[in-house]
Amino acid sequence: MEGIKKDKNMQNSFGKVMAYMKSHISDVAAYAGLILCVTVFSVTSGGRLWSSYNISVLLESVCVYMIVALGALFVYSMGYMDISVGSQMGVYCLLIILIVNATGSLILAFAVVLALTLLCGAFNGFVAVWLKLPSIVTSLFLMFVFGGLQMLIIESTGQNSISVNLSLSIMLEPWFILISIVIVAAVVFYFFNFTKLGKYTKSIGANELATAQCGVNTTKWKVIAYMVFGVCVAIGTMFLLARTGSAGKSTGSSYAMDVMLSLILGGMPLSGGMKSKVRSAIIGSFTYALLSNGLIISGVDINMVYIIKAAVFFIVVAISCREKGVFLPR
Amino acid sequence: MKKLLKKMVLFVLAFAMCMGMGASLTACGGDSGEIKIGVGLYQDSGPAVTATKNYLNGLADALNCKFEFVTLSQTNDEQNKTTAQSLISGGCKGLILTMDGGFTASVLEECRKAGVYLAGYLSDYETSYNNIKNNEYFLGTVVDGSYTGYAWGTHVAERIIAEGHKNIGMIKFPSYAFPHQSEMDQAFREKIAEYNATAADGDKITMTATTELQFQPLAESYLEENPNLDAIFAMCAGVDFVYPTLVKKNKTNIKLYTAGFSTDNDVLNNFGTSGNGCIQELVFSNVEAITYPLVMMINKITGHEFSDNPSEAQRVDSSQIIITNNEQLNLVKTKSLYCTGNVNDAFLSVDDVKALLAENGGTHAKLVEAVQSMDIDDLAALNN
Amino acid sequence: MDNQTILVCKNIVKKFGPVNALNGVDFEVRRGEIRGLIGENGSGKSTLTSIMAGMQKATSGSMEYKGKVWNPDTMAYAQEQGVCMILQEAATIKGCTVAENIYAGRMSEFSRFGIISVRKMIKNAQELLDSFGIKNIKASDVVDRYSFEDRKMIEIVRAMSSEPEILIVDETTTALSFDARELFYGLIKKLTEKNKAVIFISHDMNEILEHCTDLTVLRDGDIIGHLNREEMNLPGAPEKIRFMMVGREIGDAYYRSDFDPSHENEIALEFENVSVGKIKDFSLKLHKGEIIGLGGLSGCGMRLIGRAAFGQEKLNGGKVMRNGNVIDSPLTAIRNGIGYISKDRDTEALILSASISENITLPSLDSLSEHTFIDPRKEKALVKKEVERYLIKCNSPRQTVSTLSGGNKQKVSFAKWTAKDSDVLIMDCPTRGVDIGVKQSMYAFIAQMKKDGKAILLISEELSELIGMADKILILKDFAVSKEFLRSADLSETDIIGYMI
Repeated sequence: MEGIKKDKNMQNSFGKVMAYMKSHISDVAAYAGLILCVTVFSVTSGGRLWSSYNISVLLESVCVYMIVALGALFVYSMGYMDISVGSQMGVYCLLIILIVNATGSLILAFAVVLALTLLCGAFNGFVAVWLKLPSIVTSLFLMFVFGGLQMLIIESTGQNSISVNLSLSIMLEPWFILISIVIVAAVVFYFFNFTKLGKYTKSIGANELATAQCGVNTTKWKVIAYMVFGVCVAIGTMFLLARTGSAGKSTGSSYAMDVMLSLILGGMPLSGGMKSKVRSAIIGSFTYALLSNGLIISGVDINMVYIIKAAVFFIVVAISCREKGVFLPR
Repeated sequence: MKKLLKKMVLFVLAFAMCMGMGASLTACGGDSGEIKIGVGLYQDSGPAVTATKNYLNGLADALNCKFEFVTLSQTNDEQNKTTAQSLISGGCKGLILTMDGGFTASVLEECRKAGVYLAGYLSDYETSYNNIKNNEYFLGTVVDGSYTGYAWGTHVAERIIAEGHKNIGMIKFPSYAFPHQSEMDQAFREKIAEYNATAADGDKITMTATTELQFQPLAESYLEENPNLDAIFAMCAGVDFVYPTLVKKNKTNIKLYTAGFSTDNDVLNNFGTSGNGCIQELVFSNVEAITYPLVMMINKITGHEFSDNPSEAQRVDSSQIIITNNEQLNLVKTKSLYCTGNVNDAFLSVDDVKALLAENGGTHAKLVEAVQSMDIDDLAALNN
Repeated sequence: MDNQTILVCKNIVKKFGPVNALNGVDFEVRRGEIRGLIGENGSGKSTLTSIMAGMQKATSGSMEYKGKVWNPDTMAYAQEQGVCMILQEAATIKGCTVAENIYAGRMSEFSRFGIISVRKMIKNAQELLDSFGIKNIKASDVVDRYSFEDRKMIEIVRAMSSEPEILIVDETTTALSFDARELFYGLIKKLTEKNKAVIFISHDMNEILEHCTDLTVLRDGDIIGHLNREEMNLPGAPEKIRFMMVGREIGDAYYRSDFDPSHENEIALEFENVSVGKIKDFSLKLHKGEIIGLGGLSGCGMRLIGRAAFGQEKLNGGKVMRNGNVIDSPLTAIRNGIGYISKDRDTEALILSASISENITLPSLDSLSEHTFIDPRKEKALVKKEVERYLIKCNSPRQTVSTLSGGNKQKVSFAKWTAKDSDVLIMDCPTRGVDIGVKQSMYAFIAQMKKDGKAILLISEELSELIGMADKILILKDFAVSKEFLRSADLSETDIIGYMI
């Protein structure tokens, strides 16, 4: 008797774990992806993954992804997206270089960029609602505008890339990166979980109509969400620029997709809504940076890198997006 | 059933991924005292890439080296830095990069941190050279042909005079990207002016103003604006940017003298006297030029030094293969490493490269001589 | 199995995690019958029928259909084989034409050499619609143009056109207009005359008693009993059925027991000559402690008035006032203490993927926020109070609303506004799709609200509900008030119905 009871208990707790896993499948997939990357690369790189040099390298590449992804969280949780960030960041890098080289003031440069990101955020958020366009269209428009601007600026300088006359190397010190990431993550965590901003953006993503019926001015909060994203983009741009101190034609261009992929790898549903979590941005950007870093330090052939990345991406998405409709008795 | 199928697909994918990772496991092997060198190319495929990989892999065992190849971006500095960092993290002791740019300074900074060396290959490091030539971690570079453009400009002018062309179209890439094409242009014009000074009135050669191509094919209107051309001197990659326009406008009677090369049959079959005979000159740099940065790097890493080691990092010219007639083209097609990808066709054999190392009594002078003795005549001599 | 039996279910068990939705149900469907299926929310009637229709699989048990083992993988397959189900919620395909919806999955019938003849399909669809006597729907229109009621009719046409052997109707009629309902009853009658079978799920006791030939009552995953036509005709049958469903006496205290239409004098909400949509010059004063009922056929404009009261409609003239403030958006409405419970519970009133807690607190976040900070402890306390007040059945307030039964969902949409402490509540069909047990408690809450001095605008399609709850009933017909009734014990549905049609 006792044995059977125990067995039943075991089965019960096992069932509970399975039920938890099922209901949190995207989280599980995200964690599993990160853990898989860490363990596999630890082995294949012969331990080099954990060298202090590589850790600092990883931090350096993670920080831009993470800061931008943390901002993007607000936009993606509404089920919206912004594919203009990449070319925006490229132009901002060039602008910072030009302004710093002309005036010597990094603060002025940052202020200008921050103003621009806020403006673009307002544009993305407001115009989309105003013209009743899907957000992807307005951001596509911005992407082309900024892409063109980037070409114009760089061609007017007559060089392939331009460099800043100011050492930003302090921004690449691991302690500086760590502190910055922690501060940004903490601020985003607060706003996402403990203020109206995060709660409203999630609700808008889950059911915009119901949210509006709860007295939420959805247009206003969309604009705010995009502007908060803009602040993160401005900060991320500073780190991006600090990495090489230079910018060229396609600087930043990959970031719009990188950020989206990071969030998806972190278990973020692209439709936004209640399952949006801050940890998606954190885990996802680590996994994404690890994938690029780990494959190269393991000496995988460059052509294989793309294939493996695609496979990992596909698996994570396949697992986390297979939300099963659960029919409960009515 | 469907559920099972989905599960199976997932499983197969996961399995494929593990296989991929497994492949990487065997690829990395582990440290056996060999020197790992990262090679950053600006393309991920093509005959030059294949030849470079084959050549280096052919040398690897004899030199106790291992090479890891990556592709650099021509426009994304930040991405290049990430790539370089990953190579360093992956245990590379040296980096040979075909590209210079805003990222070079930051990559050298990474090299300093990690005690890794950087050298250039078929690049003149125009952006950074003056700032980094005294950097302890920069070991110099081998240039894609000659650093200045004078020699080739003069050479093409001589050929054009000899062939008797009278109306020459001048085309180049923008100066910001290829500053030395201005010198080429200048050298060509000087030589022609010299000729015109003594030539009879009817024999004088006229040249158009130089047109800059913004990495776009030559506009068709160019041929309408300049209807009387009998030859074009394209300092840019004319095979890709000028030749197609000529074909399209049915103007292949205009002779094309251009830098660059292609293994495309459409080009090779219309060279010299064959086909439409439009293309008259092709030029490429030898893959074997990588011997220069490679030897400099192995010396440094193994702690040997040439007796005549230069005090600052050098920018060394390399000889190019200049093809002017069908016989030469045939030789190149069948006997050059660039075209065959066969290590046995290389100018420098494994033993030749070994002998150039400082530890085996090599000198800097010999090394420079080696990378500068690889022109079309040398190729002919090698195969006699 | 005699030749009249078409589908047999044997010992069907369905588990959702630890919850048993069905514990070994035996069920038979015979040709020519309209089998009513009745039970409270969560009794397992939808689960049972959805297993028959291939929407989900039973945990254990077996089924036989036309003498063969029946284990459909998909609804499409089941429909092909003649078992067809019309769902409670909308299932038309957005962006497609009516004709495409009717022939969804069967378009090959109109294709020749791989090209679908759209014209032929539309023509056939239109003929089909006409043959069913549906005049206001055009086959070539995009379904999005039509109201929920009309889209429901399109689904019914789709189901009928496939000539099902068994038609399962899951609480569809609540979504239909009066006319459409009559039409629909005619259709299923015809089906049974052709010796097919209909399984009919409804909460509406009158409907069941009027149209079903047999009735099965479910409770908590078990079949409690069957009634045949004679038993259903007996006096006292409704009480007996209610007792079977709930397992206890419902008693008389179903609606409000008092017939006192008095209220305070203070005006809580005022419509001043409001023109909205086709409604012209609508004026109304709603006082504190008053329940005003709005009734009429669906499409008479009563929902529009509710939406206008919450600032969701752009007014063509006049204004909605509360405490001297003009209500022109949901935000001003909420700031002035107005709450709105939408008829479209799953798409407008609730965020299904959000937790109970998130749903309840959403309108209150604005007031909970202090210097941007929203204290989770305050949220928790607020939610706890509401969950206890309404006895919402859940494991934890963090459970997502989509996992709740209809009645509990509706409790959550009530709780949103009591949590916000709204003084004016606009309720659009607050008991739609809710079983009697919960209904009874909802009515008790509404009565309590009146006592607490709340003002309530009750919009309902059920006349008995209006008669039972409202102090004053306004009946609308063609976008204008056709008659006003004051609360009285003598008021009956027949007094009112003439003013609706």
